[in-house]
Amino acid sequence: MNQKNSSQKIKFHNVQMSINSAWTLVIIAASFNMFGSSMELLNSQQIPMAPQWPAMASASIAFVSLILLLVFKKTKSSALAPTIYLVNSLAFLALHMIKYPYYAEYAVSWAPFQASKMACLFAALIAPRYWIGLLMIGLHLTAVPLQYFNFSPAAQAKLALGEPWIIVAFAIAGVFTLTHRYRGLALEQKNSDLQADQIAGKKLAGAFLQVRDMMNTPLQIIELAVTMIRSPATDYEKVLPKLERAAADLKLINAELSRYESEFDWKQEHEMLNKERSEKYLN
Amino acid sequence: MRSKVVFLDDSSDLRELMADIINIKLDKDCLCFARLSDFENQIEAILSADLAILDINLGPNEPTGIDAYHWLKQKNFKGAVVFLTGHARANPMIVEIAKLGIPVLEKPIEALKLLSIIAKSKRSKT
Repeated sequence: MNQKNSSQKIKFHNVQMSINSAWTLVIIAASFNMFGSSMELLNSQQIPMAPQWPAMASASIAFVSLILLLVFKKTKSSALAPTIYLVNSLAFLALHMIKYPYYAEYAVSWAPFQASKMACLFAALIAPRYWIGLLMIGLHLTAVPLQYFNFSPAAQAKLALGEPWIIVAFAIAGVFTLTHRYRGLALEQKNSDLQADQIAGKKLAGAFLQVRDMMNTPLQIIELAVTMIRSPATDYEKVLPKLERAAADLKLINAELSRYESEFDWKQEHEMLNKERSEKYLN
Repeated sequence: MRSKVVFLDDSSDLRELMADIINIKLDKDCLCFARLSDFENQIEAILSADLAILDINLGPNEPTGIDAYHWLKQKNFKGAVVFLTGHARANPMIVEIAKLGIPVLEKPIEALKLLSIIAKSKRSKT
């Protein structure tokens, strides 16, 4: 039974979403990286000095990721999806960290750090692990100001008012959204654990009731047999086999009950008993 | 003529013990049956009994003790009826019996208590 699950507090930052959900989200992330990197490849045609390889590399990583996700679709491993997500996110970050200085220096009109701002929100919405989302938001938050201070004064002067600190607002919004999302997932998981506990509890209670019903006839036989034995007119040879059969029935029922032993949380039961004893002692 | 008790239960050991104990301790005859269909062979004897003790669950695909109760009522049985069962109170069949207002004895009942109930049972005059 899942008593263990409900007795433990589910911490939202430890929540692991279902492998199917994580897989879907990582497919979205890799597709997004593929699309974004391809767009970047097209955009950077306008800046001849900018290198093409980062976008090509990032798009290739996204392409390989999608193939891997398709190949391992049936034998999904719980570690593969977050790893692929992390690799794609890092590739996307690296691509833009390499490209930002070129846009800042040479682009006629450039909306600064848009990719990083979007990445903060995107990570919040689809990161398959809380810590990965937090890590990616943190990396964008750190990298953008660092990039800014490496720009030439002329490039810095061209940027819109408030840059590069607008990323802070996006990062805060990202962390808030990410936390909210994982709290929701934790709640959902807790509810489903409670439901599983309820179902298991009902099943166990049903089994115990059935066992009790089965025990009562042998017990009644023992009760009547004992009364009979006390009577001087009783033929022991007739009564004893009945007692033996009743005992054998009870042994069978006991064996049936032992099937449920493994489903019982002894540790929790001991804790409950100790608590009850302490309360009794205090009162 | 010795008074009679009808006992319906699917456990042969319990039937034999019940017959012996009623015979020895109360000087009454106990007519024991494993299933409702066996009632048909001894209708007259059954209808002359003071009390019918009915188990509820008589095995898979067998009519229940409740069916036996309805059979007795249909035949205008004048004796008292009690159910003797190992089922929990919340069991739907017990709930159904509670609606009929028939006493339900829970297995395992103390032998002396059971004998006292049997000893006190009487046929209704109407």
